[in-house]
Amino acid sequence: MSVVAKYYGQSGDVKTVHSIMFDIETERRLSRQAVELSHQVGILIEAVPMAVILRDSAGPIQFMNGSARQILSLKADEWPGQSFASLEDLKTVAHSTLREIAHLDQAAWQSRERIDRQIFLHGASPDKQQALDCSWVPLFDDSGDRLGLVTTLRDVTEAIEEQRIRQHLQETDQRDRRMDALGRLAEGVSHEFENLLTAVLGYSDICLSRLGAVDENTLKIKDSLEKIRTAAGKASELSRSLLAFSARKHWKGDSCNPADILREFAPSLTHLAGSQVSLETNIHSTENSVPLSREDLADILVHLVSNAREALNGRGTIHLSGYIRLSDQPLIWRQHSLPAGKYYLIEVADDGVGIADADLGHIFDPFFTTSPEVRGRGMGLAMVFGLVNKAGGGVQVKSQVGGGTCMQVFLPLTKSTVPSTESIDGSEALKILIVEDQPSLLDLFTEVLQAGGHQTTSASSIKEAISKANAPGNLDLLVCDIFLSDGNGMELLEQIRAVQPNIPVVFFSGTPRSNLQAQGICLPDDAPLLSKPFRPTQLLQTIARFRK
Amino acid sequence: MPKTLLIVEDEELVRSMLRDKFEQSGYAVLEAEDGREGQNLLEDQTVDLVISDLIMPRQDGLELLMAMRAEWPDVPLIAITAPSNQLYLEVAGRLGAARTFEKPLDLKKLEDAVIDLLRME
Repeated sequence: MSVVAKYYGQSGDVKTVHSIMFDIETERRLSRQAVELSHQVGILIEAVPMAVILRDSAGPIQFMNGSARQILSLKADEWPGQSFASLEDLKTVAHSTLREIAHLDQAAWQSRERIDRQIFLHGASPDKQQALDCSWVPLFDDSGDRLGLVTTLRDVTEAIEEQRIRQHLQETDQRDRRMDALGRLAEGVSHEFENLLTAVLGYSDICLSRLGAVDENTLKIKDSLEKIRTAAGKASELSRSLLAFSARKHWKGDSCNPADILREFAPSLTHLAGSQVSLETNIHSTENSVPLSREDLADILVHLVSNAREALNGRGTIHLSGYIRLSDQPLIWRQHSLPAGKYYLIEVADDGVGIADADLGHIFDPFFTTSPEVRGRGMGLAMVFGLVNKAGGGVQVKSQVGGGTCMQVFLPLTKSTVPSTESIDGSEALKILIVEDQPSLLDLFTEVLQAGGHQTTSASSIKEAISKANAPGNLDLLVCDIFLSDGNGMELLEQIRAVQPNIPVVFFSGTPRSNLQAQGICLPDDAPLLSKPFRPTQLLQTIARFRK
Repeated sequence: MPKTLLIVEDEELVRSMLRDKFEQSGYAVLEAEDGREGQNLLEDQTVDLVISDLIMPRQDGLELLMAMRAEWPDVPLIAITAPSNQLYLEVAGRLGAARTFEKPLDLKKLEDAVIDLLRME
């Protein structure tokens, strides 16, 4: 570009000509580049998977990208010129969240430094809540005056949820291990206890029967012996409740219709609640059953209603309801989780003293009680937990100090008839291939496993075993001697696993594992080895590990 | 001639209590610590009825039950065990135990079962 200046003389003639030449090509190029850069930055910020909002020093929004509009539920034309405060009129963000944002604005301006915080953004509807990792960055010019405020928001709701599920699974796993250890302990204690109590009760009976003539002294002795019997009976109950809590009591395939049981026991429960407490029932019928015996379900109801009565201090109302609950999502609680499915939900609610938050995580622990004066040993809810757990259900408790407690028992609904393919402990029967070349032992194992409710196929050689295990799916477990007439058990396992890769196995042998290794027979670590001679009860106990 | 009962039980306190109980009721009582000892006694002496625990060292109650079914099919066996071993009680029932009882035992019911089974014999 050029500028030409002409100077004229008095006669009108051009006296001087000044010509200035400008090179505007560079400027044009820079300007084009600036526009292009701005455009690219715009695209870049728009594409960032994080909400970016720029406001001027007075508050109005100068720019926000797509992620920001999505998080704040704003349309493209809704934000220009708005401040956060004015978003309240659009009702896309709850008042509480806007207040928190205003508070952070102020904090960032005052500290003149970046602020990082996690906030919960509450949307217009109560169920919309997002967890956001936020940064507030105040911008100042060279003279220290406010220029603007950059806010970034990152939605971490899913990550937090995943973390919560991971933590929950870890806790569930730890709890399962603890329960398993406790179960073994309870079994051991129960076994020893019941033996000792058999002796205590038996000798008390023998003494009672030996007491002859009825005089005052004899009556006193009789009375004392009766007390010994009562105490021993209570000790036996306690050991059984520990067994029930650890869910080790084997389920015998019992089932009952929960609505029928609720109706049947409602009068007794009303009586149990006491004259000053009214029990209101709301029971919905179901065609299906829950995998609990009538007695176990009645026990659960008795414990729940007793607890509610205690929470009411003998005066008030207990609501007992039962209805079908369909859940298309897994149910996850503090104690455990349940898969999606069809449940019968039993609720026992009181408006009593409630349970402190710190106690909520422990109320199902054995021997836990919130009130030392309350009679009982704190085993009631532990038993409820064990029985419900055994039935494949779950218990949830909602409570507030002074606001009452609602216990919810979820029991899986099944078809009324119990399938005929169940083994004796209620789990699905296993299809077991038994391989043993001694006919008497083969018969013994077959008979014991069949008596345990399993379906057995027997073979006395590898060749026979292969011919009987030819199709995948017709076998759940291999029970196999190590030394057979036509090879060893490992060779058989390899051939069967070529067709059914994950088939579990139980080996037995008169030779210890280490000696087998020395002979070049290396058994998989997860395969139990029963040492011959072993007892039928040991075989059944080992098989129980593979219950479906 | 009193009827002879064989008590097979590894817990000495339970075994001696049952012996006292049934001796008091007029039975002759033999004792064994486990299935193998029980089988030896069955071979040597006449036994009318066996009361056996299920979980025992060396030879358990299930094995004794099966051996008795083959060798002494007319001698009834009453299986007893702790509730934690309920599974084995069920299996014993299926394998032919005449009656099954959980511990702690109700001696009245146990004695009634003994009388009942011996009468059937």
